[in-house]
Amino acid sequence: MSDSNDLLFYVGKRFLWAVPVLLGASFLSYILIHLAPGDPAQIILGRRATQEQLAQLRQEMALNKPVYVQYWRYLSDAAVGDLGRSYRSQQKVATMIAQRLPYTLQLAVGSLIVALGIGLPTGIYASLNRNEFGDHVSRIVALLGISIPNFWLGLMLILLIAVHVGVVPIYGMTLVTENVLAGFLSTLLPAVALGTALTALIMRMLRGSLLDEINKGYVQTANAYGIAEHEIMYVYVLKNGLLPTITVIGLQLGYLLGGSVVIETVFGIPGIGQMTLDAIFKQDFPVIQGVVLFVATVFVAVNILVDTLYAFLDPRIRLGGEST
Amino acid sequence: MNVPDDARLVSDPDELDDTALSRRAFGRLAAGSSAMILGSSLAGCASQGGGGGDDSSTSDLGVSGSAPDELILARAGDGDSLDPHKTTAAYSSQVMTYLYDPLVIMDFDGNFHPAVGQGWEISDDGTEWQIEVTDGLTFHDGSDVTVDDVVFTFERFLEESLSKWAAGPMSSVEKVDDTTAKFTFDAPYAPWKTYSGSNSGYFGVLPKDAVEEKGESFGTEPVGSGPYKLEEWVQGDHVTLTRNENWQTPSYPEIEADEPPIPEQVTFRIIPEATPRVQALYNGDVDIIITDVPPRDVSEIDDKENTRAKTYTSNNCSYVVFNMQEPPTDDLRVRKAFAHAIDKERIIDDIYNGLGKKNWAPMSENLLGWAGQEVKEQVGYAYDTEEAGKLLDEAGWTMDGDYRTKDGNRLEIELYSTNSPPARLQTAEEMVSMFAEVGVKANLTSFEYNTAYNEFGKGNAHVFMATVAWFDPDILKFVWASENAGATNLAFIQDDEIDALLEEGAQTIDQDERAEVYKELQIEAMKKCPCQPIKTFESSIGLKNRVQHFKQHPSLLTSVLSDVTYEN
Repeated sequence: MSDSNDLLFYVGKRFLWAVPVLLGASFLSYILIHLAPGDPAQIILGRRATQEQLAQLRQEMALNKPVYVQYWRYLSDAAVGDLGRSYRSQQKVATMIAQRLPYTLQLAVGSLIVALGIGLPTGIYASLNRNEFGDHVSRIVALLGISIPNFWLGLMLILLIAVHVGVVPIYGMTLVTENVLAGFLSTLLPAVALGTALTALIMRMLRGSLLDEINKGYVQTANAYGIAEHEIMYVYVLKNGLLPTITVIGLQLGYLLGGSVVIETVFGIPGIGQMTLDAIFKQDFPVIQGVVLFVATVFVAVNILVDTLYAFLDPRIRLGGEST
Repeated sequence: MNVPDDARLVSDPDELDDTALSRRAFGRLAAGSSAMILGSSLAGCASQGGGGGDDSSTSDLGVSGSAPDELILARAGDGDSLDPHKTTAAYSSQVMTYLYDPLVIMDFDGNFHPAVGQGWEISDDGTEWQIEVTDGLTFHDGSDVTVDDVVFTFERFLEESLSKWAAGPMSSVEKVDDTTAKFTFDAPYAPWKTYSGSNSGYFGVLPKDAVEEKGESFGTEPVGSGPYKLEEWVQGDHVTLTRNENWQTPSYPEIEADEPPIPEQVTFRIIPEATPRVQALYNGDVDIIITDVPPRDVSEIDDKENTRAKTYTSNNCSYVVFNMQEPPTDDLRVRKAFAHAIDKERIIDDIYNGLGKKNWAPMSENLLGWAGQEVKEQVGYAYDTEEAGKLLDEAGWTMDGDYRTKDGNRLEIELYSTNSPPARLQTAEEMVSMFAEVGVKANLTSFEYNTAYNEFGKGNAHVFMATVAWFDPDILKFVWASENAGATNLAFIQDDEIDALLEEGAQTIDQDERAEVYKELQIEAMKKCPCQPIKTFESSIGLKNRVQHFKQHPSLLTSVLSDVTYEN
């Protein structure tokens, strides 16, 4: 098989694997939600509803059918993109997610830029200057970054920067598609608050994996051949050393796209995280269910992307490890 | 996510905060004419409980300055739907109040004035209510407000409103002629006067054509005839309303200027987290924190040079329910003992930082016929552990070590509570120790909010931490009527005399007489000790000092935007 066929086959296989994963995620969340106490009809109609009203609605919503029948109905609707309607607002869940996604996306991209922009260079720097002063500083900073709770960091950023320095808003987010400058400014603090832990994680991951690579035999060989150090570093070491970091970034991106409940709440960003939290408080099952399915899909998609990238970077992987 | 106990996002009218008519206002519910409130909100807006307007502006300062182009109101959460029949959320009501006009409207003194209708003509037997539709009103889409819209709205209300229980024995709505609609009830129904005169939005008049055309999307693209129309709604972020230029500014006793300034735009900003919500008020991004002022920040807001805080009595009341069917709380002496064991002062001071007023009846003191004071004097149940001990002794529960026993069984009860808001659960925890002080072992279990009510309704537990909020005393039907036992009547009280008084209260159209009926009801019911009321909640709003002449309805707890100016 040619290389490109290998890659296609590999990606195709990954897509097939996605089906049981999504089914599993939707099934588990559906069952868990329906095992939890609480009657959807009562939730919709309120505590003052009469028994007749409740019975009628249960009939309409097929709530008196067995759970597997309800689940099958849900699944067949979801398969064609119909995630149902919110119990509360009567809006389509898919529409609600689509409305909230741009904010979450902007926050996710912002955090990722912060994390990569700081994490990658410092990680490389630290690995090249192992046990020197800069390395120690970066490691301490990384430890702090991972340890500080992001809600606290968010509140501190609001109090210290938004309130006292100004320029950036105290709450809310403007989309860059509406106003580039306002969008940038309003994303700055939440992106830093959310991206700090990821920055630290990337830095530590990268430092560790690069150090592993630098100590490998092929680097010594390359050195012996007299290949320039920066070429060894950037062409060989980095390509190999990046692999674990890419996995981490991929996984984290999945989390970020699911919406950060904490940061969205602290900064008043109307993203998916805030919507989900709200839905949980209000027991708005279709919304919770829809978000779970959406996030699972994003996770699977990002993972396929990461795996593909992996396979591209390291041909051994797409061959199922035969040649190692 | 600091959500004060009485301002939490609610989805059930039972929990709707700040939605009352005061006794005072109720007492004065008479006739009246030719005035109307500009915009108000049943839920979550504020007033100096029963004080007659909120601001310094009810004085004779006169109106100076000009209306702000945009008035920005902050709150912690957002509504779900702006279709009045599809929501019970307080945050929705807060917006709907500006979008829709009610049939009639009540002024600050409790007089009713024409709105979409000219006023009620009630038949002698109290079952037929006719109303003439005001001529010349238009909806935001330019169409005329007609009697057909009124009939359509209330037929739809009866059919599908989540608040349709509030229609009581209403059986039909029909068109009499081109200007008159007739509402028919199976029995006289006094609360309808209150409801039709409240501009909570729930009872607003909707345009038939627009509702039918928009279908499901009416909830996000609402059309009403109120003072503001929806400009933009980014859910979870903000709701922006713009002034409806066709809306006629009414002459209204509380509005001082002849041509009152009205803000061109009103924006509700959703700021879930307490710190940025308060900081946004300090730095001027926000004019008013309309609900959800964190209790811990109230004094700081008031002390700052540029801001001030107003605290008002809400329509929310907390009470401890005793299950009257299940031993040992089926014994009146045991219930009385439990009532004596509860120290309201300790709860208010330790858990609520002193916010809230002690109560002796299970409804807010803002409501018509509130008899807290009378119950206190005539029935009692003051905090008295000695009395509690004596009663338990009488009931045969005697001290044996740390706890009481009878026939070898320990006095052990199941205490249920919701797990939110945190202060509610803390109160329940505090009660465990209060019960322990009189030798009662209480096992506390907490549940998710609605689940807690459902679980207690199953009848296996003994004591429950509940709240009740509404703006008409008819709410006591949910608390005490036999037919609601196990559903909303969590004490399982089933008593013919109480049922009869509840019916009488609902059917007495004269408000003074009606108040007396409810007073008798509370005294009679509390003699059976179905509950121990704790407190009427108090809430606050925070304002920029530059915002002047911001008034609130003293009884509906609604905000009035006519006259609002920025200080020059």
